Amino acid sequence: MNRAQKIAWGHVIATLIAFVLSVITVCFMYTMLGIPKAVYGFSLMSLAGLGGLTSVFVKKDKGKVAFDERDAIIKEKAAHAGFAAAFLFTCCACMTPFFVFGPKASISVKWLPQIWIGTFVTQFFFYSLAILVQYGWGARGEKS
Amino acid sequence: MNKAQKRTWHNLVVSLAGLLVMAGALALIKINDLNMADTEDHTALRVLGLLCTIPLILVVILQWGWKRRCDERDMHIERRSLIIGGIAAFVFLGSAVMILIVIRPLGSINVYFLPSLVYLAYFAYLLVSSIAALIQYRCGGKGNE
Repeated sequence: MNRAQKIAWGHVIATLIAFVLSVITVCFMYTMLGIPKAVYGFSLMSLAGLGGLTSVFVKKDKGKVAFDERDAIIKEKAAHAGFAAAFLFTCCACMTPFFVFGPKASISVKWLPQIWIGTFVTQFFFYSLAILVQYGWGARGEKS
Repeated sequence: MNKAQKRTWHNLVVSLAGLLVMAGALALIKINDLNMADTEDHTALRVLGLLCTIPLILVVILQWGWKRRCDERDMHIERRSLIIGGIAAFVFLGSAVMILIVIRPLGSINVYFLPSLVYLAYFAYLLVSSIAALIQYRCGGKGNE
């Protein structure tokens, strides 16, 4: 397994843990406090940022060729997949209030950074997922 | 000038037109203090909204209809420019959010502004990716046929 795969695994695991924890927290807070305050449980999604630390702990690849053309193409394709998923998420997040609350409704601007952060998390998650899918999830001869 | 460059120029012009139409629509709303949610009035604005979809349709139809004849270099340029465009869309979205928060701290915005944010982000992506591709082709047609 090469460095890119290890980092991608770090991102995916951190994001999934953050998502599961935030959903559990929201469900728990919903039963205790009701819906407006329960949404604050999604702040636990910030734990996904810990996935970024993986690149600090994973050592650089040894050997003569650490990064070749195939790796570059995989990263580029993964970036495309990440941007496509992020755009889809943004579209859904921006259209949902329109359909749920109606065209005359208005929402607080404090939700906008959360949409943007959600977009960012979606991009990184699907970028990492696409890297893992293209490398075949595990070690297939790639060494670090 | 090769096919990929022509497509890029087309995307550049269409994205600029799209951004201008949308900017015009938003300026019209702001200046006249119009309520887009009013279903009984503002037919002109609704026509303008339909106009905003024309650039989108042009992009989609011509992307499908344009016969693709490209080599590895064209594909490499396209991939890199798409990534640059995606980053630009991110930056645009982040900047728009920041500006809205600065203008209206603790305020609220109408829900119909949110889809227009996505629309503008898409055209920012298209514009910057087209510019990035043209820069990589050195803008002209020399040696690219």
